[in-house]
Amino acid sequence: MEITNIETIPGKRITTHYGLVCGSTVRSKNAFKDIGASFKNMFGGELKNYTRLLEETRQEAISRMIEHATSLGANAVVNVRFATSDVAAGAAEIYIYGTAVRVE
Amino acid sequence: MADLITWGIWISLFVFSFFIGTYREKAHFKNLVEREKTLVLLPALTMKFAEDRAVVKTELVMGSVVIGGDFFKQVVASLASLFGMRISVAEAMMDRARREAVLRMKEKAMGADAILNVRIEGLKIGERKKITGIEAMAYGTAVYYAK
Repeated sequence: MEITNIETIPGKRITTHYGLVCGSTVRSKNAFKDIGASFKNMFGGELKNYTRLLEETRQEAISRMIEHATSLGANAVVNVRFATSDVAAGAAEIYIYGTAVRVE
Repeated sequence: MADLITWGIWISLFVFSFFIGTYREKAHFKNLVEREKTLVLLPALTMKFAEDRAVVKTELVMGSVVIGGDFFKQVVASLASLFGMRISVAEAMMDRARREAVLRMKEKAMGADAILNVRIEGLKIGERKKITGIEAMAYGTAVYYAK
């Protein structure tokens, strides 16, 4: 599965468009890990727990999008965008969408 | 007496977070400059087409980081926002996060010739008014040209 965030896959020709595919995940933070983060928050610096959490969440959303695209028979997703929204206090949604295509 | 202890804790936290936060920020900026120098040959471009060359491989790459603000910064920011002043401590924080995100993206695209259509996004971490940190995320399409 090839994924790009430009309209085409450079060096390849798009033969079929399958339309919009998307993947989303809603994750909340871990209250116990958050205690550590608030300590660290006193002195600044990277909050590695949060970085890892968001990275995992994004990977999950991407794999859901890929699943969706595969089920349509596509072999690539072009023009992928990322969006985030606050669903509830302490929870965030990561939404990834793009156009499923077949390339040669 | 209890008031004195509370104030003592507050002031020492303020002073400590200023020194530790500043030290860490300086170290991070130094580290950023060094890494940026080594990755200068892998350009991150905001356009969709760069060179008219045959492409053999493309890949979506992304890098993200969450940077937390310290106690000193929170106090300064809330004071500055009373008067509508420029909050330079927050500017430094955003700068750190974005540059780190771009560098991590580049580090994931090692061996590529360029990264096209790079976009940078931000996300606030924390509940409503209380900001725990900010996330910067950079993503783009890494391309490998035919040799």
